[in-house]
Amino acid sequence: MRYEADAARISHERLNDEVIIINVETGAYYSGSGIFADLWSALMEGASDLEIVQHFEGSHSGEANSIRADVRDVIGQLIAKGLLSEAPERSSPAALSLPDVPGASWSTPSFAEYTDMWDLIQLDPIHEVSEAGWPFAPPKDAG
Amino acid sequence: MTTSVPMKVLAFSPLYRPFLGGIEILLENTLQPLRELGIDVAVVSESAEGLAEFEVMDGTRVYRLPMSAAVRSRVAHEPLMVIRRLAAIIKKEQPSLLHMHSVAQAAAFYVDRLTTAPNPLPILVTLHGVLEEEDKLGVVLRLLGRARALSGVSRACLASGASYLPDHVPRHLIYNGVPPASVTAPPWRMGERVRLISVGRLQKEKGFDLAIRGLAQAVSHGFDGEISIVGRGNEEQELRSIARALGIAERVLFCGEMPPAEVEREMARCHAILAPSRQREGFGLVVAEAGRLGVPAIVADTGGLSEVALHGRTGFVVDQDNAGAIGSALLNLFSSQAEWCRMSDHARSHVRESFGLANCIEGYADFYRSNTWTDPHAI
Repeated sequence: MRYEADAARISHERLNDEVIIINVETGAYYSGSGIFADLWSALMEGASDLEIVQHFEGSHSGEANSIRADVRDVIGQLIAKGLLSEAPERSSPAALSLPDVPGASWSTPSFAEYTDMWDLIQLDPIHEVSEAGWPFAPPKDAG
Repeated sequence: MTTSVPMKVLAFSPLYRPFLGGIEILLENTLQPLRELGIDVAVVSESAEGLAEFEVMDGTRVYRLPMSAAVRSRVAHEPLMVIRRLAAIIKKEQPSLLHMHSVAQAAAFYVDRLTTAPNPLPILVTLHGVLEEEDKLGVVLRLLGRARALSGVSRACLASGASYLPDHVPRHLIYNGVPPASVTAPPWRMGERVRLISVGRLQKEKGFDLAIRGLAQAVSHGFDGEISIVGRGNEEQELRSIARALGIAERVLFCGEMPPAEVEREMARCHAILAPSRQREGFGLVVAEAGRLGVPAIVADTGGLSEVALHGRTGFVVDQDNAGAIGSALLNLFSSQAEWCRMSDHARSHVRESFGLANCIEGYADFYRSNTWTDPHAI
């Protein structure tokens, strides 16, 4: 099975070892690194769950059953959170462009969920002051 | 010969100078003295239009990142770029620890992301406000739960966050410090019209309507006083209407915005400060600033206000949302010159002893030193 993220609803990007996925409809943020970031990258490159498991079995030392179960579990979580959906069958990617991790051991991939980011920035105690100092309010045209 | 290497701290503040809120004033007053004690604090704050991404201000390295704007963008690239820049700052600064000045800020997300790796840098948290229900977001509580130590600018702040940390995590009470006054306040003389002051944003939560109603009640009992309200906000017209309706419009002076030095001069002209807040104030900086001038206070019993003002000693602590209690407190405070002078003296000494800048600086130095240990594997 292959998967895709709905480009109209999901903004995602990876930078170095960190991936951020945003459900722009709900404002929920998801972020993870390491194996999770590799798993997400592989999914977005069009790899099937089977191909991803095979890749990790080759790149990481660990129980094949654990790797298989962990990959499927995370994919299931991503689907449940509306970040992934099943995609029409298509050809396999020529090669996955994932970082080399020589000697890496398998660990269960995980990601953090931030469902209250909007509330967080509303809480931000941005003071109603300008450069003139407290209790000066900022100019009306200030960002 | 050994060379003393300064401890390096990366502090997160929602804003920094030229903005001047409570946290910014604290940082402005403490960072240079901390450097002299061998603690070098760099600051990360929010970007602001017209301000540099990096600058050195009075010896303090200040980094400004679009932390809130990146979240607001809902484009994954933006927060990732902030994370990358923050990681580069940490690499450059090589801090021994991260210090969150207020945990309910956008930086909480980025600090959470950067400290999920094994052997993360220790996080210290200072609560500058009482943690309210709406503050208790997932990321805020997660970060709080991972703090190596917690400090609060009042007992009320500290108590509001303490239950979210394991019992063994150290708690430090570090009151905000105010520098010595630059002006002197003449004492109130019996028979002189009483001048009152309230300072802050003119919003319902500050309770300035209660101050006006309390004054009106006292006036109805023969009290001769007026109040200067310093600040601005969307409640000004409502406050003017209340004063008119109570027949004391000529006793309520709306001063608008004033620079800090003028606020201090205005305080020095006054004989009591009223802080009848409806919200749980973290500290009560203006009450401490007035107290250092020997200006007694009448404050609501909420948050840190009732620590900055001591009931019966430096003024009166009255029930929240109770204009009648404010009126009664005014009549009591100004019942005799001797009583007022006693409160004035105690206010001055209470600020000097509890909210002196030196105590505050030493408090933060101890906060850093006692909660840092070297971990060569920390990111």
